Amino acid sequence: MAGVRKERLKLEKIFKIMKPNPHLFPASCQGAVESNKVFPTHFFSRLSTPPPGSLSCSSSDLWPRPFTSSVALLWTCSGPQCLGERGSELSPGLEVYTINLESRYVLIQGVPALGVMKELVEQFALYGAIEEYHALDEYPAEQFTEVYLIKFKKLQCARVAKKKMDERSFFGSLLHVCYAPEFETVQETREKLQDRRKYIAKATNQRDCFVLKKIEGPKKTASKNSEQDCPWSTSGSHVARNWDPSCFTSSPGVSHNIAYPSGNQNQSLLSPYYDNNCAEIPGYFGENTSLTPSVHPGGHAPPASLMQQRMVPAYNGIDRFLPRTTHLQERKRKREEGNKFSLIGTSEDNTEVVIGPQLPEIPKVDMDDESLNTSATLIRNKLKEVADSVSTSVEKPESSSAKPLVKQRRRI
Amino acid sequence: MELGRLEYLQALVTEFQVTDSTEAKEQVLANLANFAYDPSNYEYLRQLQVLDLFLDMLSEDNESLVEFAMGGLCNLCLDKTNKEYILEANGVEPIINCLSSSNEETVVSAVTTLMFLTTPRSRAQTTALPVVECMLRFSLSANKRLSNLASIFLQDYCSPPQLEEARNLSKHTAVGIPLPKD
Repeated sequence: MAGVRKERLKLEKIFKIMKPNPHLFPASCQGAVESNKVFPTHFFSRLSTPPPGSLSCSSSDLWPRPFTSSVALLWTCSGPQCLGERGSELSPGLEVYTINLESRYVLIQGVPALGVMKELVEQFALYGAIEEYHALDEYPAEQFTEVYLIKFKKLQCARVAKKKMDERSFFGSLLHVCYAPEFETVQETREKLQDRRKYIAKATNQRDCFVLKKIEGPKKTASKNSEQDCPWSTSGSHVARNWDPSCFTSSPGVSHNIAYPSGNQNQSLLSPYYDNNCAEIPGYFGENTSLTPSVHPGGHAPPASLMQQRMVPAYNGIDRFLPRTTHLQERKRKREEGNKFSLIGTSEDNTEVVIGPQLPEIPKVDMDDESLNTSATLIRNKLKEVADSVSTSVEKPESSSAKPLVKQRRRI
Repeated sequence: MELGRLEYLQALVTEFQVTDSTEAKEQVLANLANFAYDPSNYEYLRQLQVLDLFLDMLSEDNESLVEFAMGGLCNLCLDKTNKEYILEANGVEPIINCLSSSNEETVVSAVTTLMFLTTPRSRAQTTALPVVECMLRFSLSANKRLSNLASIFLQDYCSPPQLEEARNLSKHTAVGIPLPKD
């Protein structure tokens, strides 16, 4: 009994003297995956003696600080667990992160007024495609600093960027990065909630049959993204590969996973061509409730050329065995399938504000070469004629090819 | 690894139960609510009856505890099992009560949680007339987060007759659920 009381007092002491250390959090966030290997156990039975191989601290330290939020970070592979600047009145620094607090919009304060907007955006673009950015001149700012608003294409990118860049030095000034959900439109908020719903459905292998959703056709980009179903924190290694400040593309390593599982919930609404395997494709399933037009959250689909590039690897194993015309027809068929289940979603892709060159709506397949494109268009038109007359015989081999394709994506 | 996680969460819950320190309770609850964001913790949280803990905290006087508990529920209520559990435990009522909180985060979490908890069986409760009327008022709020969420609630979870009925109610009554202070 006395031992329990002693432990309790010790823990209370830990709570009282411990303040959230903003400099500690980012490191802990980054260590979220690695720390899974360092597994503190027996917090309460051995408070005075760190177990062997545990976190390296002296015994006189407040080890292992089981109740620090930074330690809480060790246990989660997803979600923004860093405590932020918006604490409650009673306990400053304490914050519970919900989907409502997170946003694709991030506010960056403390940017030195040195005309470094370009460098700032380039820095943040390392973490994912940026849709919009601008200075907020009206926002209160400290002397000689500016405030910027950056809108990422993906919530996941915003999460990573916030974690990495918050309290980071930038041109001699300490940046302060936080989410800015107040800048969202109703539709953006809606998409955010839907993505969260999809993520939970996938993560828990559940189907939520109630809310009527309009499902768009699976985007081919999902083929690459499905490969990246790993803890978000490891996406850092993928991010740097192909970021582009003008930001059209989403780095595949980032635009994946947590926010974009399709979830089995989609299954009931998919055509017979798509089975469970297909429902596992993460990514750009537009989802909406019945009363609203569907808008594609992943309508930030990369340009057709990149779609083409991404599609090719997934088709590699099959390419040798299927004639090219079959692929074209399959894409056409899948587009048609997608159109069956979407309302306005597909067209809404084009209303997305994207910085960079405008995507042409047609041609769908871009070979990065005019002559090739012309050929592709001609072939496509020809195929259309052929397909109309030979639709039945062609469909079957295509549908059977869909499954192995999907399986191939999942394995990778 | 899984055993360690359960132990750790158990320790948190135990600490919450035994401590007399308000600050300690707030910190623990905030931690638990943040853990509730990650689906891999759900099984443990259910085992440790954290869902009941969150629901119980909704009726506390301490605003922070209510805020954190509401956030925790918002984080985990999309999971089907959790959702059913909350509905079975008559959780909708205390969540609706949170709509009248003066704490912005509490209200925002409550609105989202009600949306997430709406099922064919529960929608009569989650979209009851007073709730819809409240959402109508929230949709006019200067608080963008709140107005966005309320608009989504009205557009996606309420039928036109429900909206009409709520609008008529608003016209006739002056007293409603107050907007949270910013």
